[in-house]
Parts: sequence; structure tokens; C-alpha cells
Amino acid sequence: MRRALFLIHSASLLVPARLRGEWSQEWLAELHFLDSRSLGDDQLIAFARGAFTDAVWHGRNVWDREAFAHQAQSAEFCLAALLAAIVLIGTVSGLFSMTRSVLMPLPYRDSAQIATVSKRGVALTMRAAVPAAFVSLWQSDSQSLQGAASYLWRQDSVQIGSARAKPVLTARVSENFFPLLGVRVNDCQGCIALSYDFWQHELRGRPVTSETSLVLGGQRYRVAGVLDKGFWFMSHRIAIWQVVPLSSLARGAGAVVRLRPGVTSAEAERDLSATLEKAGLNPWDTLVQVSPLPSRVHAVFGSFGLALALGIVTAMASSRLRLPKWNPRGALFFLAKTALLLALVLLAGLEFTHAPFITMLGGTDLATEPLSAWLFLLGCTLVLLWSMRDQRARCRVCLRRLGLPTRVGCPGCLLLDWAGTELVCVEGHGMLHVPEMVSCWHEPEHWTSLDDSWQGLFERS
Amino acid sequence: MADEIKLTHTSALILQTIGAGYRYGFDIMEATGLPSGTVYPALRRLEQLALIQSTWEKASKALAEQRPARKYYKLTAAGGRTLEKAIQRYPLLRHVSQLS
Repeated sequence: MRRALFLIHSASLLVPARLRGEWSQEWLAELHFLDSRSLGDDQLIAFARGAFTDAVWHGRNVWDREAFAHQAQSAEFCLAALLAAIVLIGTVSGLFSMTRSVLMPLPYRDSAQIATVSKRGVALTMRAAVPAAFVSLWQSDSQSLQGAASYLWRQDSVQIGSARAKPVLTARVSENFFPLLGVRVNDCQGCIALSYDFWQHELRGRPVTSETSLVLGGQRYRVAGVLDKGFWFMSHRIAIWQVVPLSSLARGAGAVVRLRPGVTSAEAERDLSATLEKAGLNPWDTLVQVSPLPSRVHAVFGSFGLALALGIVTAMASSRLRLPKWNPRGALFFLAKTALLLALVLLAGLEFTHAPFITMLGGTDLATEPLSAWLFLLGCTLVLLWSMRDQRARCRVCLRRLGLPTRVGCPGCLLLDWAGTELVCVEGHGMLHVPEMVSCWHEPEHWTSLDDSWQGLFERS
Repeated sequence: MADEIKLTHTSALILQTIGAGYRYGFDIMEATGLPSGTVYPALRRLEQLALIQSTWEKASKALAEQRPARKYYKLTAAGGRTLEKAIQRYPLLRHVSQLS
């Protein structure tokens, strides 16, 4: 009943205020009647869901469009619309699931000590897979590590029951992978573990028993258990985890290590290279790169910060986009609006692009990082420019968008008769003159305040 | 004007159900099997077209039964005429059972 009531009250917000009381009264009375007939919660909720369609009908057919257009020009509406966009992103993305996992501590024991290791390639910035023999050597001989494990992920097909096979991302990891991360998982040779999301969506959260199994890549596996809700490693899309002997990953995979406390990445790199050299490998083959996992995950914020700095420089360099004179309320609105816009860019980037994803080798791939950095740059620049442009086009007093644009003056007459466009505040607070040409002896825009004697012209019927 | 209105089958079914004596939104849902998200907007539209008229039941009656007052709907004269025409278009509507 409580959830049904919440739905009806939420839907009522979509109904124009003057009709809301009666509308709510009817829906609540009907809900009360349903409840008195001892209908189940599901039926009450199904009934209450219809309130949204009904409320939208009211919104579409009875809404005062003129009043809405008037309201849409206000500063409050602008901020509310931006907040609504953020809420929409949150709703679509499952309450900012990606952002939360990037911001929250990584779901491993002492995650600051977890790092990925990759081989440096011909070009020092390139990364390559690490052979299983290296991991085995580091596990036994390295002084800087507490442990090393291998992992490999690939696209596979999974079939549950009689349903059709569907593609999923699966990971094969060496036996000590989960203990190294400090993650609890049932020990079972030849079994698989499911990610929490996969279990929820595909098995509908049904309890996993000794009979639970699924067909992966044409072979049936027993399900050993479900990983913790917040667990993820490198990519959220990995649905199924399979523990295999390290030797079966011989051809090379990603390597994850746990550094001893106090050991830095540079020290670990030197130690791992020395361990390989001692084993008689060619020095060129011993070059490795150790990347602490938390810093890789948080690298996306670095990209955003850089993009924001460049965006600010670009916006400041635009001479046509001077902000209006300082006014505390206007400045507060500008800051709030810009912060919301930037948050929108960051959240959209985190949730809908692959910006926070890390490749199997512990880095970001060649396309994703530059692409996300460019998208952030473009997004930050555009929102900053728009925010400044929007600020200029608002009344200096009430912050409402200026309207009624009128072209004035004679374009050919440059002396004392500047051509331009005049915009006016519909509340009658003032008028903005925007010249057609910018000249050095004249400010780019001129704001004229209108006193109370003009109010009669601006009264709304 | 109302006589010229061409109703969809769903609207005609709801109109016929009201004509048959089902007066409350949920009763109409039960009788037609339509979900609330279809019935209530259709009721608004039919009322806007003056084919039905809504009235709040007496507060004293609701109070006596310790429940909120409900809104009920009834056919207008124009609604009756439109329903007749709709039944000619959708003959199966005649089979919608009358309220016993």
C-alpha cells in the first residue's frame, strides 16, 4: 500500500497544480477501495502505475502552455531542469552504478597494494600480455610481492536451462586470483562463480544449490556461488568467473599482483625485472610496467580535470563571451548552473561511455582514453561557453531569460547609431542592447535598467 | 456535435460499460479487463467530449462507511447517442453484459 501511495503522490506532481487536489482525491479514494478488498501489493502497485499515464494525459491536454513557457525562462527552472537531467542519468544508469564503483574504495582487501603488471612492448608506452611462466616466477622468487595471479577474459556464449545461448564476457583466472584480492568465493575445482548482476538478471536471484549449472561455451559447469554484490575487477561486464590452473593461461594473460606493504610501483618494477633477468631472460624481455589499480581506476578524473582546465582556458579566451557585471545572486546562479552542467558531463561520461574501463592489460585501450578525454574536453568547453552565453542573455535583476528580440538601428550608420539587437526582460527590469559589430570604444553589450514607471507596459493579463 | 464523434473500440467499450451501470473507475477496469493507465485517461477524454459526466458521491455516505468519497461517472444524453452509433460500428459491444 505504501509503495502504491508513493507512486500516486509522485504521479500527482505531473498534474497541473489547479487540478492536482481533485485528481489525487480520486486516485486515493480508488486505491483505498482496492485496499479494502484485500488485493495484494502487486495489484495495488499495478493499479497505481496507471496514475502516471493519467497524470501525463493531464499534463499534455490541460497544461497551461503559456504559463509553462513563462516559467521556463526563470533561473529556478534552469537549475531544476539540470537537476532533473542528473536524476534521469541516475535512473537510467541504475543509480550511478559506474560512478559509485569508481568513487568507492575498490572491493578488495588493502586495495592500495593491488597492481596490474604488463610487459612493455617495442614502444615503451605499449603493453603486452604476461606469460604464465613469469607469474609463476614472480610468485616464487620476487621480494616485493605478496602474491601474483593471472587472468584472461573473453567473449563466450552461455545457456541457462532451455533458453537460447547468449554472449557474455567471461574471465578465466588462476587459482590464487581470488585469495590474492581477498575476495571470498566457494572453492570448487572446475566450477564457475557468477557476478551478482548476472545472477540477479539471468537467474532472477534464485538460490544457488549443488544442482545449479549452466552451459558455457558448449560445456556444462556447476555454479559454485555468487560473488559479492559490489565485486568487480577491471570491467563491470564480466559475468562469469572460472578458476583454472595457471598453466592453462600459458600463452599470456593479464597479471595482477599484491605488493608488499611500503613497496612502490617503481621498486616493484625493478624487482620483477631483476627476477626475470636472474632466470636468464633477455633484458629487453624483462621490461615490465606495474600500475596500481586504484590510480588506474581514478585516472578518469584526471582526464576530466585536464579537459576542464582546457575548457576554462578556451572559454576565457573567447573575447565575445564576457560575463555581465558582478552581482551576488547572478554569480551564485552562474556557479550553480556551471557546476551542475559539469557534473552532467562527468556523470554522462562515466555512465554511458567506456571512460572508466580498463583493458585486460591494466591500461586503457588506445581508443577509449583519447576518445573519452576528447569527449570530456568537448563537453566541458561547450557547457562553459553555453553557461556564459546563457548568463549574458538573462536579466541582471531577476535572472530570467531576456526575450522579445528586436533589431534596431541602421547597419550602415556607425556613428551614434549603432545597429544591433535589443532584448527585454518580460518583467520590465531592463533592456539589453547587443551591438551588431564590436568596437573598441564601446562595450560589447549595454544594459539599461528600467524604473517602475515602465511597469505598466509589462503587466501580464 | 457529439453525435459525429467516432470513438475507438476501447473508448466505446468504456462508454458501453458505463452505460451498463458500472460507475466507478475500478469497476470499469474490472468489467473491461483494461488497465488503470488506459481506463482513467479514456474517462478524462470522454468527459472532455461531454459524453460522460463525473460526480463526487455524497461525503456523508462515504463518512458513514469510513472511507474517502469516490468519483463516479454516468452517461450524458450525447454519450447515449454516441454509444448507439458506436455499437453500430462495433456490434460485439452489444454483448457486454448488463449490470445485474
